Amino acid sequence: MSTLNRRSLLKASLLAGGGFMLQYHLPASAQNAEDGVLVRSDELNAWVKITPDGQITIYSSIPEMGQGIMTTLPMVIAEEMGARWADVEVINAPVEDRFGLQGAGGSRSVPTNLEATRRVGASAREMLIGAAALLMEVDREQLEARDSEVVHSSGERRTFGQLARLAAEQPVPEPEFLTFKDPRAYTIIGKAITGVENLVIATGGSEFGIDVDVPGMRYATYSRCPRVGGTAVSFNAAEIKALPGITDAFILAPDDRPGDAQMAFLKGLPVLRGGVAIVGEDTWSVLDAKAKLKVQWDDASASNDSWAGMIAQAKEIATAGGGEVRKDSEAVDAAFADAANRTAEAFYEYPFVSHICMEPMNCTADYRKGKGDAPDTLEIWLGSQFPAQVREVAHKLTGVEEANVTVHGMRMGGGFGRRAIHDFAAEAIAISHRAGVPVKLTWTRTDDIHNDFMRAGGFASMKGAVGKDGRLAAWDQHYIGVKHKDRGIIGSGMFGNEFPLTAMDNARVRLSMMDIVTPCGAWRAPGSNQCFRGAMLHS
Amino acid sequence: MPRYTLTINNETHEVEARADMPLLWLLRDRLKLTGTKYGCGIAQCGACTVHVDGNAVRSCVLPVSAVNGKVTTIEGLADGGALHPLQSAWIEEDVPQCGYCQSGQIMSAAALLAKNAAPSDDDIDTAMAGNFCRCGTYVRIRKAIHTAALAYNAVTEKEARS
Ligand code: FES
Ligand code: FES
Repeated sequence: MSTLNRRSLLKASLLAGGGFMLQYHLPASAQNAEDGVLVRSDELNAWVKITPDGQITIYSSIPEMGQGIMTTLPMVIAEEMGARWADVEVINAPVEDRFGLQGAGGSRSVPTNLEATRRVGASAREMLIGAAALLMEVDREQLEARDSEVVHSSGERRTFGQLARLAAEQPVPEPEFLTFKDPRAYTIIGKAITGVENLVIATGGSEFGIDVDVPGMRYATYSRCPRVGGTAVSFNAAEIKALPGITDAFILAPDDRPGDAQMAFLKGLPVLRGGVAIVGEDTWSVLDAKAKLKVQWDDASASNDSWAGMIAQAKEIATAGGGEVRKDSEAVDAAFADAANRTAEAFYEYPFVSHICMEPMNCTADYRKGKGDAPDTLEIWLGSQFPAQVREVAHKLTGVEEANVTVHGMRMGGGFGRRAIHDFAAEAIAISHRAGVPVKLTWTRTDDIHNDFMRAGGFASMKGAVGKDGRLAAWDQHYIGVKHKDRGIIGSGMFGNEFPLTAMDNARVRLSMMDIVTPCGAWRAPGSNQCFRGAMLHS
Repeated sequence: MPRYTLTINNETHEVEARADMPLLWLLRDRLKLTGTKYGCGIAQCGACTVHVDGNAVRSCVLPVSAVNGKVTTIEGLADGGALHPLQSAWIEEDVPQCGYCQSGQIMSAAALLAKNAAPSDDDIDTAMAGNFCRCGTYVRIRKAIHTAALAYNAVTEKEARS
């Protein structure tokens, strides 16, 4: 690999063990230089490195999927440091504990990381000022960092490059004593700064997970039982293995062990589904073989979900009435009975939808059996919103110790919540483990749409009454959503306190939930994807 | 396996490949030119767009055996060290979000500008209709094409005078 990300990974590994860290979840004082952690001469903290020529490197530690975080948070660091943006190079950070929680989801990358990120910059600034105070033999109160220089009130100045070495040896400031720049003095935040990877993107050099190339790598495809929960019994193995470019083909049994990992609302999702893996010399060979694959599935205990079935069931529930009451004002029935009010009724359906990230799901995994006493290792490359969690998936599937699992978080061709779930990583890991070679698993677009963790569909039976004055006299809503047997589904449900229900003084809201098996997950703006309230208000 | 001689980004490549292998996979898997992206494999999204003799084609459905002409990919669009005006405009107008569709977008736009140096909004919408962007960067794409068209015409005029 020859592009920016790969180079940065190499550089980062040369720095391994270097630098004190300002981690998000640990007090900085727990890791400063006096505790015996080596400080590399050009590293001010885990995120900031300055070389004597004045080049400022800022590591971007939050996964980038198009939300721009690789530009935004480094801007914040550069601003607080007093750096000139033109001197900054941003590099994708490796997935390592010293960077704290490296995750992105729920549109929260900035709010979650802002304070800690400002501290990273402010801390670097104070260390640079400390170094300048020593070199110039002046009070630090008379110094200011701006435009990649520390400037004394007399006009005397030192560039960040000149200060770099000494700055790295300065005591790490306690986070609570750090002060932040006055926003009126901002030179970077608030300016239209373009994406730091625009050039590599525009020249075709950016490296997404799907572009990873590992020496000796094979290409893989995976076919799952079309009905969730089914398993592969047999397939036309001899025919498939004889096709040009095919090196291996085998059945994988379902494995729900990795499903224990992950955040609560994703629990149980990243399981390995039963299916057939095909491994070969290039993507085309395996895709071509996949088209010729004939599998005998055992789907006796697989999902029976169907959209038509759900609609029918929801209509039955709506007709029967009932449901769990979430809000009930006294005068609802009276308003509907009042002949002076006009009423409207509707039954709304909204479908299950796939995320359809532009870059189909993919993952490259390299399982290596340890020679002699050496432990087994796994190296994994993927676009993920929570890349560090893949270690646990890998451990549960293969037994490789988490400490021996290296994960590389690549730029994502879209995430939208889909890349918070690592079922595709589980597949690549299991295939490499079984085949004994590094493999890149690429999902077809069809795989990607069929095997999504969908935004849950749902239904609403609604009634409204409008008075002679044109105002809403009553509102009666029966929401019919879906859940899995033992847990709810994110975004499906209704509390009764959603806007505009809170603004209605005569409303009834009831809730019924139907059991489904179809995998569901968070979609962009989880929970806010129920447009029928607005539609009903219009009608 | 049959052998093919292909000119890609002005370099000659001797390759052995199955006749039915789409150019996309030859570029990506064999030649490691991964700037050209896979999005659908069925000519529906435009992520795999390259030029054959200057025309925008979907490399995911173009078998190697059917390639007759010079291939240009996003990696070969810049002329030596100089970026194509579209590439500069893409950077300046901050077009990319996730960036995954953008190689295809730029290649489609470059084929358009080569034939129509001052496209209208309608010309752009028609020429770019086959390029999907999941992040929804369409407004900036259009703006960047207009920006590039100005620069493109300036360059072409200069060339014509010299
Ligand atoms: S990958 Fe060729 S058009 Fe989608
Ligand atoms: S920028 Fe993400 S798909 Fe276009």
